[in-house]
Order: sequence, then structure tokens, then C-alpha cells
Amino acid sequence: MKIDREALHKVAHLARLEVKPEEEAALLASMESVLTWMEQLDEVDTEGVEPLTHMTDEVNNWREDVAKNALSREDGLGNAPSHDETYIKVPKVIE
Amino acid sequence: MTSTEFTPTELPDELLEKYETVIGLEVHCQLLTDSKLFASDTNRFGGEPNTHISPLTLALPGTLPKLNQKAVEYAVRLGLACGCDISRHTIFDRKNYFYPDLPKGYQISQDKAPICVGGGVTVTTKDQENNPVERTIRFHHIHLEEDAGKSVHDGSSSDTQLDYNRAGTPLVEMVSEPDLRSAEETGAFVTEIRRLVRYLDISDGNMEEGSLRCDVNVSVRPFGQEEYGTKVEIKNMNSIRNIMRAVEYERRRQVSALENGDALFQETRMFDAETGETYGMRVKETMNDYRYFPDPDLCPVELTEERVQAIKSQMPALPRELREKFVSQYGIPAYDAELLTDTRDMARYFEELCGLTTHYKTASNWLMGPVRSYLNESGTEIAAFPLTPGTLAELIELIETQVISHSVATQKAFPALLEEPGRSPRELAEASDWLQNRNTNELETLVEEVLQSMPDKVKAYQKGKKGLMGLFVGEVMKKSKGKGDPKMINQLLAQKLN
Repeated sequence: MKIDREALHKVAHLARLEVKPEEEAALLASMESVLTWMEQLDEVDTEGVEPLTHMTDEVNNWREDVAKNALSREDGLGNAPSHDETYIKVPKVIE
Repeated sequence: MTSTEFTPTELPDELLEKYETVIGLEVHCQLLTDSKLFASDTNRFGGEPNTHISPLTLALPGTLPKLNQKAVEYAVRLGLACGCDISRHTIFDRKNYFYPDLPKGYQISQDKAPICVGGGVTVTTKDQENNPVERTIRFHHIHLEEDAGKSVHDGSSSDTQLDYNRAGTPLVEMVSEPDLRSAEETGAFVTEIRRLVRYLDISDGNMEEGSLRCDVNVSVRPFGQEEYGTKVEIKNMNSIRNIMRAVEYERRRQVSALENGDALFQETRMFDAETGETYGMRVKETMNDYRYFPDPDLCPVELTEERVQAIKSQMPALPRELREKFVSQYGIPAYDAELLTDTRDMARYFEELCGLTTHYKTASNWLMGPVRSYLNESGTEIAAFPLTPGTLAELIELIETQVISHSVATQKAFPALLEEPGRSPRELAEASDWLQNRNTNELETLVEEVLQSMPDKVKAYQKGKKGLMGLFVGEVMKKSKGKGDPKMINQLLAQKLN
């Protein structure tokens, strides 16, 4: 399956990846080979077969509604690259 | 811009009336569970920022979501109340997008197999002659999803601050079909949904705090045209009044654009409550590509018939059912029933009251009159109303058996009881000498005194000025210190005068 530059950059943008011009050729070839391999799956007739969404038969793995804060603010914020005593900070998001 | 161009504010009615407005809503409603949808941290509005968090909420590596059973139950409750089909097999999907209030890089939502499908809500509005019009607004589906955190934009700082207390809060999203046709109807629809989630005890429905918020899709088309016009989405509306204002403005904006020959774009707009206008986002929005796929961390939910029936059996009566019951069983007018079922607590109080007195109409009048005035003036909810249904029922019996007059009851007994809510109305009335004077001889004397004191008025009355009767009654009432039975006074006066 052919992938063009536009599709490559769209996928990269959606994943917030920066693609340098010298990387394009290798990435295009790699994506194409993956998709060509996937195309083989398209050859199988799946008419009338329900989509398989999960790999096990497990259902209803739920829990009771009991509240418990598992993480202190100090510990939670400590993992963030930027924070003050109250908030996690990120570069300004402009709307 | 030439002077012949129309603007949303300057648009002749006859042009506006050529177009039909088509509105569809996405209503997000936070569920009142104790913990979050997929993690155990506390689900509560407010609280110090970033104190209701867990490794899952912050998307730390190695964490796995686990579904809150209560949230599923609440969504089913809502679905049953709206006549939806409850999906016996439902799964969760990942909706992928990058935004800092969503640390995982995706929101867990439902795409292909939402928990409730179809159904709807009936809204009542008034037509031009003020007659009630009922319409059912259909739902496309209702699904479960998690809420995002909150971005705090501090003007002085170059950063955006993030509070993840809200991240992971369970939401139901109700997606309507494009069935709404006016701002008024849209307002009635949101009001009914808010009432419903409160009755069902699944949400506080508090719009100021963001528990209930809407995205509003608006388009216009010439009447008779089948295809929909180009729609605009107005995001994040959290007041019914502003929703209605935004719909009205947007309808006018779209009609004036079309009449000016301008093209409309499918876009997201925001509503400015200050100006009452909507505006497009400056940044050109690239089409969202959410790339939904089933979340492999969450197994499917299977709902058995028994489980659905168990949830159904525990559901409280719905506003519509109570309205019908109040009209058919207690014989009160539909309008009264509407007001009495506005909140579940008021409906409950009325039902208790009707268990203690058979004067249903009087009971309804008391709740809608003096009780409601008191609640409004004191800013109290009916749940905190000092008088028990028993006390109010006793007061109503005193009026209905003519032991005290209606005016004494409203003006004296009611305020006094509010001061001393534990007191028995009968005992209070006796102690305060409020019992109605139904002694014919005494009242007759008073009637004669009054008529003798105003011979001119009596003459005028006998010549045909029948409106003076009210004056005579009032004067006798005054002399009786408000305790005379107005019916008897009327009868006695009629005898003397005719």
C-alpha cells in the first residue's frame, strides 16, 4: 500500500512526533511495509463475523464504588517535570 | 459592508420566519458516585487542587483502569427513565487526542457500543395561544465516559496550571437527535433533563459547578427543505438562559448570513455571555481525528435481564408519572401538578400531605402559595421547611372545618407556626383567640351596626351599586377582629339589604 508524505505527516502530527526531512524516506518505506502486510488480512472473508474486540472471555471486571485517594498531592506533583505546590504546570495552552 | 446587509440584531421578522431552526444537544452530566469512573480517588466538586488523585488519574505507567459498578447502574437508571434500549453487551473505547487536561493522551469513552440506545424526553412548551404543546425529543444514544481535568489560565503566568481533581469523574453524555426547533424548546429540554437526573439521584445537576453542561448544535433551513443546513457547534454551555440566548443569536446570525448571500461554515463557536453573541475560534481547527478503538485494558460489560430488572425495581417515581398521578388521583389541575413536581422533595412533601388530609386542592394551594413564598423569601429548600406535613395538614383541617378563617390561617397562624414549628395549630389558635366567630347573633349585631353607620352607601347599594358588598363585608370583618366567618357575613348582609 502506498503512503504519501501528507499521510505520513498527518500521522506524525496526531502522535505529536517531529519528522525531519532526512527521516521521511525510511519512515515511508517502513509504514508501507507494515500496511502491505496488513493487506493480507483483508483477503480473509469476514462476512458475518462479529468484530473481536477483546482477547479473553472475561466480562464485568468491575469494583464497588468506594473512595480512597491513593496518592498525596506532594507525591503526585513530584513526578511532573514542572509544578508548584498546588498545580502541575505546562507551557501555556492558547485557546 | 453595505447598508443593505442584514445583521443578527437588524433582521426583519418576515425573513427570520422563513427559516426553521434545527437544534441538537450533547448533554454531559457528572454522576454522583463516591469514587471516579475507573479509579478509586474521590469524586467530589471543589477540594484543594490535586488532592483527589491517583496513579491512574495522572496516567502513571503500569496503571490499569477498573470500572465503577455504580456508574454503570446510574447510566442504566437514566436509560430506563428515558425509555432507551439498554445494551446487554457494552464496551469502552479510547478517544485519542492531546490536551494537557487529559494525561493519558486519550479519553475513555464509548463509541460503537454505547450503554443506552434510543429513547427520549418529553418536553412541554407553550404555543402562540399559550396552550401547552408536548413534543418528544429523541436520543440517539447515551454513553459513559470520563471527565477531563481543569486547566487554570493564570493571566500573570506564562504557564497553564492543571488541577486533576475532576479528571476521571464519571459522566453520562446524552446525545439528542436534531429534534429541537427553538430556543424555548431547548431550554425546556435541558430543564427536564436536569429535573430527571435529580429525581433519579444520579447527579446534582448543578450547572454553575459544571455538573451539567451542553454542546449545542444549531443550523437553519428554509421551511419545507428536507436537508439540514450547515451546522455550527457551540461548546461548553453551562446555564439554561445562556443556552437559549446562544441559540437565538446563532439562528439570527445564520439567517442574516444566508439572506446576505454569505456562506456558512461548519465550525465550533463560543458564546460570550457579556455581549450575547457567538464567535468563531480564531485558530483554524484541523479536523479532529479521534481514532477510536476498543480499550484493551477494559473488558466488556454484560448486563443480564435480572440485573436490569433489579435496577428498574429500585427506581423512584419519575416527574411525569407523579404529575399524572397528582392529576388523576388527587384531582388537582395540570398546572399545579407541574409546579409540585418541579423538585422531587416538593413532590414528596405533597404526597405525604395528601396522605394526611383529603383536601388535596387546598393542600396544593398552600404549597404553591404561602409555603413557596416563604421558601423563596428565606432561600430555603422544601427539604428544610420547618413545618412537618402533619402540622400543615392540621392547619388545613382547621380552615376546611371553618374553625379558623383562611385569612387568619395565612396571616397569623402560619407565621406563628414558623416561629414555633413544634406547636399544634389547633392549640395555638385556641390560645391566641383566633377561632372563627360563627355565632349568628353576634354577627347579626355587627352587620346592623355597620349598615346603620353608612346609610348613603346602603342607599347606593339598593339602587344597584352591588359592588359595595365587598365594603360592607370588610367593615363587618374589621369589627369582628378578623374572626367572622365571611360566608355567614355575606349571607346576613344579603338578608338585611335585599
